[in-house]
Amino acid sequence: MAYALEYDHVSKQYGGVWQSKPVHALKDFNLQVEHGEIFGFLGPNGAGKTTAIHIALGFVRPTSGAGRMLGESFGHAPTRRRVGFLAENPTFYHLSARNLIRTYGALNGMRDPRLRERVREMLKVFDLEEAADRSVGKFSRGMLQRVGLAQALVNDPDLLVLDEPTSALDPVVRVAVRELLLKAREKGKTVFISSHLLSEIEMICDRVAILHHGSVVRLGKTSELLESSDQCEVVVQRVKNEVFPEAVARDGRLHLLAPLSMQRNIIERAWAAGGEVVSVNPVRKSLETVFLELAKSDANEKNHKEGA
Amino acid sequence: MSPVLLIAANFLRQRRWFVLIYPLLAVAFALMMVLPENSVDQEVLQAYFLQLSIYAITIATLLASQADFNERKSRRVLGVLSKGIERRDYLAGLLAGVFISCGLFLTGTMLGTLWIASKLSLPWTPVLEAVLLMWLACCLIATITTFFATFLHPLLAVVGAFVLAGGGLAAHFMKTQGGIIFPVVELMSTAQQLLVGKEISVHTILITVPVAVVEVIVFWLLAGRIFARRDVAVAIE
Repeated sequence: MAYALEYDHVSKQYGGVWQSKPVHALKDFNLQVEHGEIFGFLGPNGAGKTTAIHIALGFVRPTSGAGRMLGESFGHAPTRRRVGFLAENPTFYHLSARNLIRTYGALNGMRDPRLRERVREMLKVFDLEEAADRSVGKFSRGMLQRVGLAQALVNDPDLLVLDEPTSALDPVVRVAVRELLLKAREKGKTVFISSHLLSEIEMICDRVAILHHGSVVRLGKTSELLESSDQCEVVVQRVKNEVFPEAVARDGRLHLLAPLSMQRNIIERAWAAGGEVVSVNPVRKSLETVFLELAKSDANEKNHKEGA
Repeated sequence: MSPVLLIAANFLRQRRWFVLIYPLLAVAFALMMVLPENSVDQEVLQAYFLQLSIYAITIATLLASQADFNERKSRRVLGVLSKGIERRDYLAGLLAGVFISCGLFLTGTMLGTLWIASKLSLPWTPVLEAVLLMWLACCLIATITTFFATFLHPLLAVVGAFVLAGGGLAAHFMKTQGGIIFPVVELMSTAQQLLVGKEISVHTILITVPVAVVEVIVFWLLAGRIFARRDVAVAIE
């Protein structure tokens, strides 16, 4: 099956000849992004996310390995006409917003009247109509990011690659972008999104990969990744606090977080005390928790090495 | 507009003051030379044209050496190369921008030269021919510089281009035919001779001009091949 984006044992090393210590940005990196999904790409700073994106778009050549984007090898220029890209901290020509979006559309081979129509549409979607004739050189970071998204979407791409797309946006535009991405998925488009805003990723992504030190350390459906396998939350009512001193009281109910093995015991204790069990649910972690766990294990590993 | 022209247009737009003011300076120099109290003769004409020819070559070299470097440094290159554009087309766009900038500067030079030539009652056709040869020399040095700039720092790219062009200068002074290999100096010298009405052998024009045109294409293609293998986003996260 052809993937929208596919990395096959890709490694990238920076420096080496002139610099004393080479940096391994990616190490034997493998990833497949399917058509029609919204894929979240996460990782701490320096994990290699941007390098992976730059390799796919042909800005950077891998040291070893290969990959395909929309069925063609990385760096294939005609394929990029079907791709939309927004860089982290984008910088553009100092044109008016309208001309800038138009220029980037034309660079992708678009022509009037379709180009004119798409530019108008993008200005409207990203609420840039009033600022359309102002130079982007005078735009705030948030507005610049909106222009960046507009230029990435102007060619109605099959694959959208976004590096930190919503970090500088206000909540209203952020919601608009989220809806836009969900609509794109409905139309069968693929979205590959790298972000630090974990809540955003959690809300819209079908699958998530967590990158650490240049390799994928977690990969799976967002729902699976967030589900804890060993904890559950039990909510009981009409039970005195003394029965469950470790519980948190909220809205007249007690919320208990406990290992799955204790689930039966808690329920029986609640019933024995004359209480009612309102709900028992597996605990869902937030991406933030997953992320922090990863950072913690990394720190432990480092300490262990230093100790040795 | 084709992607190459769009890139060229943006290159010019970013340097619009430079591109507009320098041709005016060329005309201003000519005005100073033909002030009533200054006596004008052929030597003044030659000196004016030679001086502005050297400026044109310098402008071409400096613009070409920094064109790609500045785009990479500012990361604007990412926005452009994320579109369906080949690296060599991107370079062609930047080069077209440099060629047009030099063309505008030489237009100013041409106006100034024509003004001085009119004071000396000299014909205008040799001036046009000399300016065209100078433009070709600028295009050639700009392409050679761009070739070096794809793998060297801009400063070293300038040095590299001047070393190649310097070979032609040495050949010119030694009166050998070696100057034809990288004919920047050869073109400049031919332009100077045309200006003062010296006889130019058809042979020189028939060889020098085609060699220069072919070299512009060859160096552009070579630059494109090297640039296609370069990382344009090298910031390590």
